[in-house]
Amino acid sequence: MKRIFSPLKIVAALGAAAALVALATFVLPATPVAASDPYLDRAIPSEGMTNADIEAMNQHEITWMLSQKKVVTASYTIEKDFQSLIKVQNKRHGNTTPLDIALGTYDTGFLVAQSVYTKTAKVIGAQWGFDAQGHVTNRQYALQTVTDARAGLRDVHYRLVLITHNLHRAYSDWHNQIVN
Amino acid sequence: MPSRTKAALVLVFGIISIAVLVVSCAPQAAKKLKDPAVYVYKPPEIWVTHPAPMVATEIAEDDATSTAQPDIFQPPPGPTLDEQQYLLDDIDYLFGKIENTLNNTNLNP
Repeated sequence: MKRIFSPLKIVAALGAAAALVALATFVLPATPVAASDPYLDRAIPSEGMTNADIEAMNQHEITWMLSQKKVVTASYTIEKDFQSLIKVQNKRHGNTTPLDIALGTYDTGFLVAQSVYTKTAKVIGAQWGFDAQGHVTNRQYALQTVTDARAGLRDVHYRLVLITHNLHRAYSDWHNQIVN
Repeated sequence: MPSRTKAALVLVFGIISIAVLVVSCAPQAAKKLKDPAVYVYKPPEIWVTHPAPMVATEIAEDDATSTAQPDIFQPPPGPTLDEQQYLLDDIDYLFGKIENTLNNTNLNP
């Protein structure tokens, strides 16, 4: 009986297939991170949480929101400081282009973060599903509140981390440039 | 010496010893701490009255040539280095504060 595929052809075919698979991993786009990001999870964990857990989560989110407000205020102040710094440098005829670009990007991201923060603060402030003492009065609504609040706070957190990091990096580069 | 006399001497000596001890330990009025006295000094109220001047005081004419006018210090135009340094310090402080708070945030309530 005549063999259709010689061992050499089989080895060559397997090699080509492996090369194609390796190439595909570099060419094809990866799965978007946000789609599987557990931190932005808006699924309500209906099971496994007691009312006490929900109340504790609610209290933690209130504390988190107040802490985040301080960060937002400091971010606003740092933006004003950068504007003043650019004015000072312009009067000295210094190079402010990197600062201008970085501050523009920062402003755009900060406005979005502020908007998300305001919406999240409204969700937490409404305390849907909780009474005035923070006790659960409607489990379904309370779960909805803590889940939406967590997603919003995380969203604001990552936005603040990103814009602060980028602005700090641009500032450090600029500062090293004027010092050296 | 008879034993009765001995006993009497011992008794007297003991009484004297206890008396000396009590007197030496007792607070003595002369050595007691005195309360701090507070003295409030009030200056004498003296009102000096004098009549209003009836004649205008003559002011000597300014002799511009006698004293050289001092040079007024003129700061250089534009922002000072202090202003820029203040902004740089404030920015550094705020970056530290923001990043420290964000790093220490618990994301899993």
